[in-house]
Amino acid sequence: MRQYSRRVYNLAYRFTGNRAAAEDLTQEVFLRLYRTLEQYDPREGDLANWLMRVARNLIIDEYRRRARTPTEAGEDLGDHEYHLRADERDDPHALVERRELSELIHAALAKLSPELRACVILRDLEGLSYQEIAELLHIPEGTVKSRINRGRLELARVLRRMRVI
Amino acid sequence: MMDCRQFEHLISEYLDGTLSEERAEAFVAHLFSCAACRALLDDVQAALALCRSVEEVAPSPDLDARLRHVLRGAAMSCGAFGELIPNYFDGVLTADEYHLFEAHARVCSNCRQALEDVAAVLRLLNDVGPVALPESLNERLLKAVRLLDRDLSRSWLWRLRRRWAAWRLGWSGPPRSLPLPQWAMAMVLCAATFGLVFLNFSGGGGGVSIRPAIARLFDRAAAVSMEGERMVEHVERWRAQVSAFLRTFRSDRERSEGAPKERRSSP
Repeated sequence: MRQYSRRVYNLAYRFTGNRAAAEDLTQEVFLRLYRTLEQYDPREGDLANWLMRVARNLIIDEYRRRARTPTEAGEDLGDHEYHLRADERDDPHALVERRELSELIHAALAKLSPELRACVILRDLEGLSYQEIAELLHIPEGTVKSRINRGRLELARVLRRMRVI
Repeated sequence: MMDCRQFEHLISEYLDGTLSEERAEAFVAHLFSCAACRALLDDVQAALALCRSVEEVAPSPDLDARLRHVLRGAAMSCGAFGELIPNYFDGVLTADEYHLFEAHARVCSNCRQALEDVAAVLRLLNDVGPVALPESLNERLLKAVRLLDRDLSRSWLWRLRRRWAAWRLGWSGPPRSLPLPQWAMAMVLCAATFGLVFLNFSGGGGGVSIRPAIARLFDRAAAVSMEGERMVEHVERWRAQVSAFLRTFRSDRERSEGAPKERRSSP
């Protein structure tokens, strides 16, 4: 469960860009998984893959729902990160920098519009194919392609503005 | 020749290696001729490289414990959930219980429904205000009380008359202080108070009890508050009970004290 919760949490974090929201979302996903667990059919393949697929669907659904009612924006990204980091025992400088970089990228992703963000996250962070993304988001593959393209351009612009690249 | 706009559209496909040979050539040709587009491509490539380098974020250390707790709540039996409902509405669930409760409500639609039903009932009960009194009820109550008043003064007058007659016949000495008419009311009140106190302590020995009768009366009145008729009927019955009690009380006392006149007339 530990490894799995980490993966779900990370996916949720990528979409929300907010730790608290990501934890809530993870919790929601686990609850919904609990309800759908009986639908699992071993013939559909590995349990871990099945779980991840369900989780991805749930997170995207939830993400869409929240995007429609934008009450919680991913503004507090990294707020708690400083406290957490202070606790860490083995804290070499390089690790800190890489972590900061990760956070900057998440912050940049959070600045993209929801449709673009979803496509870029699924393609370039989760490594899904165009077709998989199209199925997941229920949009045509052509739209996926153009959104990924626009998303990447936008991301590059945002990162440049943030002086990351 | 490809323009910058077209170039922009094809960046992703170029990076993903899905461009046709012909378009790829045009793309590269534009790339060599346009410094701005070269910079743009570099930026996008750098951004993607950064995305690939993104590290996993560590969730807060207690996430797993929380998840386990939530799942435990989801697995809680509906019976156990039902037992927690009253405490939930009284706000006395412990934090631990609350999280279990919440998790179960989220996965179990039956229990969620039950919870909503209870909440709806509680809301309704909260909204129930006092029922309007029937219009003439107050007047009828006043009338009934006046009748009671009259009964009491009548009996007092009857006593007074009897004592007056006794005095005139010389059966006892004249009372030191003559009962003046304006005392009548005060004495009636004293008698009534004494009667009630006596009743309280006599604990059913007297046979008539007024306190429970009053309580019953008001209970009944509340229950049938729309029925003024019945209310008045109860008041009248109550009045009759009080009169009957006062009569028995008086005769009892006269019997037990033997010579009430002596005591009355001495200070």
